[in-house]
Amino acid sequence: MGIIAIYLVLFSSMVAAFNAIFRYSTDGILWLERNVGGVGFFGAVLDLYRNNSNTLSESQWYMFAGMVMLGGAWTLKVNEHVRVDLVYGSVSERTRTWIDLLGGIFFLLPMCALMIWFTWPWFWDSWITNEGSNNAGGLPRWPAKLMIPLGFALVGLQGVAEIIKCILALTVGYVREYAYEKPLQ
Amino acid sequence: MIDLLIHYMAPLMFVGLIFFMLIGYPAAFSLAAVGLFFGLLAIELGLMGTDFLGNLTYQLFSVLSNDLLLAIPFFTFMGVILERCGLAEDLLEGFGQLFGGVRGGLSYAVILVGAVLGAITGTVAASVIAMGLISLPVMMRYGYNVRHATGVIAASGTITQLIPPSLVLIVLADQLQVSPGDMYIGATGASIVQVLLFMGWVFVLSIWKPHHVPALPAEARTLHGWPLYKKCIRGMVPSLALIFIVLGTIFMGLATPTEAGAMGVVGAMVLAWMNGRLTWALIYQGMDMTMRLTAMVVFILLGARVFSLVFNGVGGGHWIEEMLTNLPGGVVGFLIFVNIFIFIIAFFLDFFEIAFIIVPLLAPVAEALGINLIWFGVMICANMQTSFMHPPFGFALFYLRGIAPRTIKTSDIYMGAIPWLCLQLILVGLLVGFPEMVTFFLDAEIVQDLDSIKSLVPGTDGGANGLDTAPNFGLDSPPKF
Repeated sequence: MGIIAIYLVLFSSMVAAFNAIFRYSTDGILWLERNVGGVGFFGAVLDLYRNNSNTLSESQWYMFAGMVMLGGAWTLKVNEHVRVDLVYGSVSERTRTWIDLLGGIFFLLPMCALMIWFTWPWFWDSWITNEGSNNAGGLPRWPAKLMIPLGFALVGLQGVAEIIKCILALTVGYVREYAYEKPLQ
Repeated sequence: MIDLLIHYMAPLMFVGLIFFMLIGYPAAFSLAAVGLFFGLLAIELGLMGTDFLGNLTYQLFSVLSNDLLLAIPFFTFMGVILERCGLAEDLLEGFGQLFGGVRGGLSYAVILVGAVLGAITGTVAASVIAMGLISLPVMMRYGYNVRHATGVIAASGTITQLIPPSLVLIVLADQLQVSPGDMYIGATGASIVQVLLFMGWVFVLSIWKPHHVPALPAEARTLHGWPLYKKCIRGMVPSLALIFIVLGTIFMGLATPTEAGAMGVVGAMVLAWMNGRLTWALIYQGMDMTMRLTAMVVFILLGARVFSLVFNGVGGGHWIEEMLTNLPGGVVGFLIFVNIFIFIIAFFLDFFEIAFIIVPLLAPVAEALGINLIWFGVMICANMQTSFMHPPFGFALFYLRGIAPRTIKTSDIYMGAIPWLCLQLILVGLLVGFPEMVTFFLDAEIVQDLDSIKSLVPGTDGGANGLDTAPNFGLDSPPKF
């Protein structure tokens, strides 16, 4: 039992590390996006950028898609997906763990699986046909389309990690590091 | 049995959603899971075609490829930077000294600074925390009533929601499919009225209970003449520049709200740099927070899209529309119902959840009734402000509790919020009664729309009732807690 638990902790920490890497990459994307947002605006003014403005403006929402879909798993890890805490806020830590465990198994995992099942063939089509943009000078479509199945796969993986953490919390008294707090707005 | 199930699929789905959301699992995943479950059930029962869920991909993709939603990370990032660049401090100290000599002067200062901060950024947290940290100790020291002091700070922080460029307005514009620029213009009038209402209340207090809002003694006003003006200018000039960069460019049609947000980020960085606070740690922290908030919000939207696709697939749209169009009282009845409904539901749901789940259900009905959607959106936005001020879970009160000294009781913060909550409800009532507050600043074309709305009101006494008379909702009924 202990050995399994160790492997599971290793597994969850690896998923967490994955997410950390993705977080850095999304942060890099975010940072780029500030500049591209500004450049995209001036690009309309400056002739130099005019030729590339479609690429730039499309890259903006590509990065938005990346930010959201790659950040989703991280947000799940730090427990910042917003909840209706009418019940959740007033029950014990143990009950909360149960809610997260059952929610993870019955809501999160099937949802992710279905989403991947729906979106993967659609991405695959775009990849095989090398689908281009509707706008002249735009970017190929497949990276943006890849984001949806990839994002849900990551959320699913993190979901597995969370479920493992819940089981550990219920059996061997593992303390979950991120208590739920309402996110800032 | 199966027939019954098919017939009541939409209501069942709605009840299921409420149930699963109440349990407290993250809303985004509950929404998507409930949607998919009922979608599969409906396909199984033959209520929808098997390929119906294929639309899902396009729905999800349209969320991600939406230029307007890109404004969410931009404005959040901007707010996070501004929160730490010392702008609020300059503004508050300057205005506080300027108005300090008047009774209630500090309250006026807080309200005005709240409005200015609101016009620059879009986050409630930033304003409430900044004002609570700076103004609350000063107000306490000079004998302001505790309840009044906490109330005015929380309320002034929430003005941010209504004053453009606010995230709520962007999200609502997206959901109602109107131009965010028009939405911003429409909200301007309403936010001015709100600021005036708040200041009017302070004025009433300063006559009615002067000991609650004393003037600062002369020795507390250390700055006079030039140093004072310099302080005010140091706060105001960058603020006005940022307001111009963000709002001016939108109103003049130079930039889309998204681009204006990106410009605002650059502006905020420059401002932080001028104040010597631009560090890598600040930027990194800001990006981290922005990414989490954006992912959280957009995941709710993704979940809501899944839910509403299936919900409309099983005929939920018709169900809601039938239910709401048959309300007594036509347009006004509908508006009163919607406002009470949103006011109550705001006790349980976050404003993003309201905007993504409830508003898409209401929008087609409003459109069918011929209601100007911009007016409708501004009204909902004003109403959702109250969700920040409700005693049990209001965010603004929550933030204030976090930074207020322990000597201030939580019950004082809650009680202090009530008069301001009533003022916000009065604003909603005014908006229902006088749509001109919103539409005055819009094009003439839309004003004509208004006339057609008036003629649509099924007035019992010759159409004279309806929009011309303010319904007494919100004024007489005390908020229910």
